[in-house]
Amino acid sequence: MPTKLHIYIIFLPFISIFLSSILFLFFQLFINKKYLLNLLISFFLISFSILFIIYKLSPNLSDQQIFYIIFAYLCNSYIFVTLIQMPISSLQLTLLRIIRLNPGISRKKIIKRYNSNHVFDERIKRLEATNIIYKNRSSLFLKNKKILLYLNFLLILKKIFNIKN
Amino acid sequence: MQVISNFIAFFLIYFFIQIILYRYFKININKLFIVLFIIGISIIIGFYSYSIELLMNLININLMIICFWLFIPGVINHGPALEIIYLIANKKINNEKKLRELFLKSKVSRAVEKRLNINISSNLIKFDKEGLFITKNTKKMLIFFDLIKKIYRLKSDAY
Repeated sequence: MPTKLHIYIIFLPFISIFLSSILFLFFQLFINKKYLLNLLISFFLISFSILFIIYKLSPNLSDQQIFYIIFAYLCNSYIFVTLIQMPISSLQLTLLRIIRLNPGISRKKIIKRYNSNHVFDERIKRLEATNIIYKNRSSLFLKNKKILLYLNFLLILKKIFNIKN
Repeated sequence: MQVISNFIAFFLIYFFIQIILYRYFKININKLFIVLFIIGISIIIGFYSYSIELLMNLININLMIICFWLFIPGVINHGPALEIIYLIANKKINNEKKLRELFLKSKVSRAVEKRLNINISSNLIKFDKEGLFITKNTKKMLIFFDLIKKIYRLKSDAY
């Protein structure tokens, strides 16, 4: 039979991500305008509190329960970050919004209104705003090299999946 | 420890199935229908098993499958921002004009058309003689994302 501790463990990753989202909202409203930084801070603060809870409860927790709490929290965080990121940068959603604003619009008009030049300008703007790149005269340079880890990881996966650029 | 190694084995098997199916047959199993099907089966098993250990494993497996569903499309069609970073970091192109030129020449420059086709094939857009329209479900989805944007005061890149 499940005990109170079991039920608490089952719900802990979900409660944690809820708290993380509240914390993120708080940061967005009152502290910082950089959403990526806010996301990271809220994620790490809750991660540390989870680790603290695990440490406190460790005599009563099995390896599987500790693994469950950490893995489920990481997955929930990834899902939350993706949900936040989608309305910001998803091309698919942008296209759907254009069609919602202009019902009956033709394919040609969409591509005329929102082409690769627009996409390039928008992305450069966002990369600059999030301090990933910086502009020096008419040249662009990488500022945050941590993004290369993700890029290389993705390139390796592309090779494994045999996806050509 | 046994349960954890079982889970890791499941993760690796699921990952290798994805690789084999995509690499050799170009089949992407990360479809909403498949995800919902697995979640449905898990709910039934979890409901009748009365085992906390199994329930925890099922939750982890389902979360992993949802994460794959969200992650793999980004690997298959990486976004324009990553292409720009790739050109700056790997191709050492820093001049903005040249960067734009190469970006427009790359496959990612057809991202708009590609995403439009994905939207049509996944029934998010209706297509008739008059032009393109969004479906009722898409409307609901957009309202949901607009709500997220409003609540968290996010600014989208466009529109």
